Amino acid sequence: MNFADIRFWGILAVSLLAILMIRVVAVKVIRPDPGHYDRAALAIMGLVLLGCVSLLSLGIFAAVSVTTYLGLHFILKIDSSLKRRGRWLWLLIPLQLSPLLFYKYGGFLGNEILGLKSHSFTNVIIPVGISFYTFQLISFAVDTLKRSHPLPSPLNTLNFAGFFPQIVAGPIERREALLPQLEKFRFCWDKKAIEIGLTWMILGLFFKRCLADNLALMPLVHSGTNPFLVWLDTVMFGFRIYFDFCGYSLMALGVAYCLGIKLTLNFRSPYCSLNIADFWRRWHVTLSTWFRDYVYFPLGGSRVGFWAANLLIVFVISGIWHGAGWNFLIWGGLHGLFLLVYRLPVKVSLPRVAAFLLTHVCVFLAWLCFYETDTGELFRKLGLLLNPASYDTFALRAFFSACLSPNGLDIFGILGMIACVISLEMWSLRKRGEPYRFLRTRGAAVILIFLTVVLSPISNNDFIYFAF
Amino acid sequence: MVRASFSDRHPAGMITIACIAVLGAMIFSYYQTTQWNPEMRFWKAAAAAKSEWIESLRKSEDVPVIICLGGSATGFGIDAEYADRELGCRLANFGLHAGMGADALTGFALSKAKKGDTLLVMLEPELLADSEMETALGVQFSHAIGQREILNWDGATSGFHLANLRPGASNIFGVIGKKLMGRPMYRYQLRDMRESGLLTTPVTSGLVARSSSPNSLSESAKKLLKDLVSVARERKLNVIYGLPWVYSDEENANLVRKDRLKFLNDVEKIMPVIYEDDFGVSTEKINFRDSPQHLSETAARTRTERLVKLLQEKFAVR
Repeated sequence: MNFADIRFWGILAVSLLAILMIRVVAVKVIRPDPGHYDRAALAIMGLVLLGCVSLLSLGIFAAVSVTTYLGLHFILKIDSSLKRRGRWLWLLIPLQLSPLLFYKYGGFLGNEILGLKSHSFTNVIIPVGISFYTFQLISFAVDTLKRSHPLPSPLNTLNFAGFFPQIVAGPIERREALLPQLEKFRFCWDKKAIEIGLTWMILGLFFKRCLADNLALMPLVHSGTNPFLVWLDTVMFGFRIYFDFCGYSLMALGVAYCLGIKLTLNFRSPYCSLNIADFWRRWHVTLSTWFRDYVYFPLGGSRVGFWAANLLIVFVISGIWHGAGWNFLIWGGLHGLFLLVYRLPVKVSLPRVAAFLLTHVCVFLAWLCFYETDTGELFRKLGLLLNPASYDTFALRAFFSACLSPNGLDIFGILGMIACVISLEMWSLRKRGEPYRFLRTRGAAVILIFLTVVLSPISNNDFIYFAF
Repeated sequence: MVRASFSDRHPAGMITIACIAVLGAMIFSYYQTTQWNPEMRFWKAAAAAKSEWIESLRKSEDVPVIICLGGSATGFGIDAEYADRELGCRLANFGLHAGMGADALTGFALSKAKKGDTLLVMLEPELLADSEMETALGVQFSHAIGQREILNWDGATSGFHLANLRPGASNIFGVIGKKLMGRPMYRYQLRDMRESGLLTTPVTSGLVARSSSPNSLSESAKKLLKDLVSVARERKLNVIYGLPWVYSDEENANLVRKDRLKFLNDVEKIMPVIYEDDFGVSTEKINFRDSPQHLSETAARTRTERLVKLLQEKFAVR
């Protein structure tokens, strides 16, 4: 379900056309409840679109959804005590997590932890969206059992679990935010919603195709011995992952808007943050809040004496969620550490510019751990970046000569556009308190469309977060 | 005073605005890729020169011509003027940019071929090992020279072109950067091209010896060559494959030769091939210019002479 791929829009258009044509015929012949028909059609469309991505993905999604629904149905039927219902989660959550653990972490657990060195895990393809819908269904199960919400109909549960704009890469929605909207879902031509949705889609497509995909074409091949070039690689990766994932999220938001469903804004201009806590309030918002509500708070949150340990545990798990590898673990741990330092009672007041720079040095340094999967190479590069002696004039000269090469011109052209985009994000936040506001105006839309058509590369890259 | 966002003020016009912006961008992209791009302007002029040369050969005497088709390795490697003047052999150098892809390069040569001509296919092994036969640059070239049909020579309808008629960031920022820094807009100049279409360059930097070479055809290349044989049979053309020369160092030369022998064996299953001494692998750095497949003018003459001799001896092509 790649929004940047023309085939997705083709399948979507054909599906919508089929749904409308069948509805016209069905209304005359069998007179179904139109709301029920629309919700069923939405569910089928989601399954068809997921099936077009891969049948394995569809199968695993169906297995996790059915397990969740039947599990909840069984628990609610046999146990009326709110307290005891909570205990059933110890059985249900591992069941929900088992496909995720097998597909995503089987290789890592088998080869790295148990030392099996088995090749059978290396070729395992991770079903798309597994991390996202698994987490969404876990929160659904917890909210249903712990907050004593009634179990919705199987059709509404299926729509909640598999709402196609967000199934493969989020946002990870909560029951109370998404389910009521889906229960009232109807296919209708809401011009205003479509036009607003369009502005989000234009911005998302620009982020993905024009910025992220162009950054993806500039491979991270720079000398690992030059700290300036390693920083450049790291900065490019940090921007790439942001524009890639945020682009997807904004397109998901736009597509959902066109269908009359409001999703959560998953990114809120994270590169405008002035401290690390602010960064995490703006980056992958729905995952951060998920970890806060379903891991950090149940561990005791910040009210207990060992809050620092809780914080580190949450961030290490968040790192592991992103991928099975030591580098992700280090990435999570590093962010946990940064946040820990930020929350220490001793406060140092920094000027805005210094706070901005310090935050981003930390964030980009951590990105190095995200993209460098070779642990030995990662530590070598970290050592290089943290060693003041490596920043010599020779390295600086090599950096400038690389920048003035034909590839360097491309990189700086893209980085120049990124600087403009981030400035506009900052301006939107300062003037309107709303991220992306000025990037969604009429004038901006025209410019963004023009730039996307002209500058986006011919080749199409998958979204980075599809791998998670 | 901050203006309200468009979505608040005029929601109704957004789709129209988006359509107009897409249309405007597509028109700009079309002209940038096919008319204004300095690289395309060079190759368009090169194609015109090559077409003029073959027309001039046909005007002087209506006898078959040997059309050498390929990427820039052919462009730098065949001196048709020398062959005509010194060897009495009527050659046409149809070497263009390898980035145009095997499909467009073959289609362009076929568009100028006539009954009885010989197509000497000199497509680089790298092109024929690739799975993509049609490239964006090839599509842009076909539009630039106003011959869109060169992509349909095999009878297959060509795919979705609109997406390929876009310049991309690399092209736009490259052009802006070169303008700002006062650099030449393209690495080759028209003044360095001979009347017959032979490309030359004084630049020798960037020459790196090859240590390996593709040793088999991709499935799509096999299909392309089979289609070419079939089209050639219908149009009564001869088809022969010959490898362009390549530079390698003493250490790796034999490995490259082995790879190229395997590659030629693979091609021979589809069409006749020319086996040259050393399979076209040279360890003489002086024979090459800015790339391991771009020959110097002197080497191009030597290569042309040897090629003509082989064609006359082994294939009775005159």
